[in-house]
Amino acid sequence: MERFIDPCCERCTHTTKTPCKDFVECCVEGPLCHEDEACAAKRKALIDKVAINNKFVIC
Amino acid sequence: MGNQAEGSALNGELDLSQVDALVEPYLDKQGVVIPVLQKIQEHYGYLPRPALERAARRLRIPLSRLYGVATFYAQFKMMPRGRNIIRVCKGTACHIQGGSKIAERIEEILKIKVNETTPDMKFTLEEVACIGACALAPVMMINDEPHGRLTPDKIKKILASYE
Amino acid sequence: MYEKHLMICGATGCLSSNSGKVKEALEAELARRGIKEKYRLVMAGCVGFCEVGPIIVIYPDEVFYCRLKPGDMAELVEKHLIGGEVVERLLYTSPDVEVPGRFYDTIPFYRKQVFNVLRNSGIIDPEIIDEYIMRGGYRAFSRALKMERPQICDEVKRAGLRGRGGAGFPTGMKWEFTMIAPGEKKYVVCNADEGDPGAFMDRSILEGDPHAVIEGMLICGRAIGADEGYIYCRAEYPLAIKRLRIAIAQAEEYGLLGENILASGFNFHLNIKEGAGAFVCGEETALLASIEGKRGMPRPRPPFPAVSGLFGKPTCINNVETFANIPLILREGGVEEFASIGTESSKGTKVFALAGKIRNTGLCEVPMGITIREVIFDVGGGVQGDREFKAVQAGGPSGGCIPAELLDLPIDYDSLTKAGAIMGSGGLVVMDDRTCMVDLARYFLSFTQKESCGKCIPCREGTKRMLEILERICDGSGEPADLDTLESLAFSIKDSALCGLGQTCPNPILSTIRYFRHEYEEHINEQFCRAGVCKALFQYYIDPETCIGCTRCARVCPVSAISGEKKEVHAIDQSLCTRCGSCVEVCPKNSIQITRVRRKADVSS
Repeated sequence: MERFIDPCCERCTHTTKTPCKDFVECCVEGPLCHEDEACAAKRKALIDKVAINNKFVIC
Repeated sequence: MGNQAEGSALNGELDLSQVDALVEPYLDKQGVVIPVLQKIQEHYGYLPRPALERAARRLRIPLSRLYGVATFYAQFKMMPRGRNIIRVCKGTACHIQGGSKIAERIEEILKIKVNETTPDMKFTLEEVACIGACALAPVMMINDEPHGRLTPDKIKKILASYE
Repeated sequence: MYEKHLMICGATGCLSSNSGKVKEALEAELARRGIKEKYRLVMAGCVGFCEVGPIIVIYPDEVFYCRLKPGDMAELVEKHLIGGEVVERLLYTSPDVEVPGRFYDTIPFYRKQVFNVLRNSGIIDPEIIDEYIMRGGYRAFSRALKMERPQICDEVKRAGLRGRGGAGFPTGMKWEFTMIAPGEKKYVVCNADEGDPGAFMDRSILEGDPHAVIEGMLICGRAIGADEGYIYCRAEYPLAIKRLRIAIAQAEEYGLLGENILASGFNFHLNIKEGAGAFVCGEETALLASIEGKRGMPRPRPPFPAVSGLFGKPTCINNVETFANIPLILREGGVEEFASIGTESSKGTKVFALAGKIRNTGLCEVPMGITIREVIFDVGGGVQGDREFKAVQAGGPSGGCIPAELLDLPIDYDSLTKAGAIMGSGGLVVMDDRTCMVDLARYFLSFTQKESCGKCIPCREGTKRMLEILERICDGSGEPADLDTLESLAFSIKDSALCGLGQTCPNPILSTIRYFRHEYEEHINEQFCRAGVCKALFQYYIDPETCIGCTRCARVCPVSAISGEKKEVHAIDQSLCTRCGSCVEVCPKNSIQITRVRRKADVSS
């Protein structure tokens, strides 16, 4: 998962053709449609890469 | 805007075959006049009349309408321009920080007035309403490069760095 | 994971002071030491303080380095990045701080600022949508998709947001009008034709946080039922256009623009139109004509664009800064938070561009209701070179001057209008005793006269006549009746011109006459320009008391009008002097003074 648009695993189905209503919230807080620590870690890794401090992320 | 002098009417020859390709994406669409003129100017460096005539025929828009739009907006030029475009900012901040002295000094050095081109096609001098770099007034742009905090004395050296 | 984040200001201001070269030098230094991977370098959006650019802010250390040169980079890498030690020499220093300012909280320029619209500028990479999303981006839009349309308009209304383009019309009401207008096809238009000379707020927002504007437009589209939008941006802003194109492409890729967005059934497409350089296109009906590919001429209203706008369809037009405020309002609890800042009638913050003879030039965001004095002296640091403050010009060619006695006026739409100025888009140009107010009025009028589209007679002919009178006054041939003629012309144009450009173009004249009538009278009756601007109305002389004979003025004079021996008092030959002012700039002792021109009668006798 290099970017939020990349699916965390095959359970994420968000694309322009098959949009997911929770996509925006899922980027930072996800995964929302399934529970998987590995998937959450992928998102966190993305954030940690660019978050300049602990106030950076806004939910 | 790098190759603007290329293909200009300097030697009386103008390759019009490009016009069709430039106009192609805009056929049968609405509100295309300005983007079409922008494309033609990007290619030729200005708006040569034969190119406008050809574009008008292809687009089925009267030449008078293209001409009307072209002469309304400051961006469009009806004459060939030099290799380097000097745009002196005439914004409020530049005005009160002595921007007019900058233009005057350039006119003295290049021996041309605003909206004129040096005979060797090296420079064209223009004015622009504001380039939004007010913090560095007075400012000018040469091509896409801004030069800020100018004084008349700095002009000669800056101009010398352009080919 | 990066060890540190280096945010380099990549906005037009800092680029003009060479931030590109600074970045190259930094990259080269990191590459030379083979430690490039440890650090993240971002060409970020504007942090506002253009005066001290180029700027690099280092996180998480929170250190603000300014006035950087490519040659400083080796030391910065060696000492700070490797040694972990702050490079004191590159911190912010100025007479207004005792110790060098290390970060925003200790730099006076930032102390009274509130970052709402500029919340992301300078801390995200504006070319990466993921970072905008991490900052809570597109959440307000996602929330709006789940709301009823009137409810969205209602929240914008309750927040009290007023148009940031100048006139201050309540945004929520505009949305509601467009929402209830009958019609299947509707448009959202963003006015990014920032034409006011002296204003660069919108450019900085677009360059620093383009997604905020796109999100605002999406929410508007959802509220009014539009499926297409246009951003009309000045072609003079190439970087803003580039960033917008990238942002739109990313939003499309992420499914935030396009068909059936986030499975809501809502469709929205966004186009960019590059303006072709006509000030009048900032007027909404002229802007629409320009998007339609016509000459940018305004038309009478009604019908308002909300009923019949772009291609004859209901259209909602807002300014860049207005749209950038929308995501803040539409997020959970945003209405209350937004309305908690500002005054009774003007809510939220306003971004101002500080320019002219002010010490801290740049961009600032302050809460509405702050006084002009606070903005100019606390944020702006006062007048350059500690000269005397004369006036501040607000609102560009449509605005007016605010003199020193009104410095304690709170900044809100209504107070400024009452004082004869307008909020305008937010350009504040400070003037000192060396600015001539008559010349300033002439300057603005020459601008509006050139930009008048020529459609209606009051504006086309009236601006020409007023300009002729002002030019005459500046040349020393003014007549006592001129002031009355100017005022009566100004009032007729205000009443009868077709569009906003014409109706407001007399404001700079009326406000300068109102507050600086004595300067006009001095020009007309005494043929004297005390500011030393109108060339026919003053002479330079060298004060023999203070001249030290350094010869600098004589060397710089382009017409060799100054003579004098080294270490002896110099003199100016008035018959040669062109009053270019070059000598004034170089004189170390301020010896070159202004005096009245001796009348022809005196000279010949």
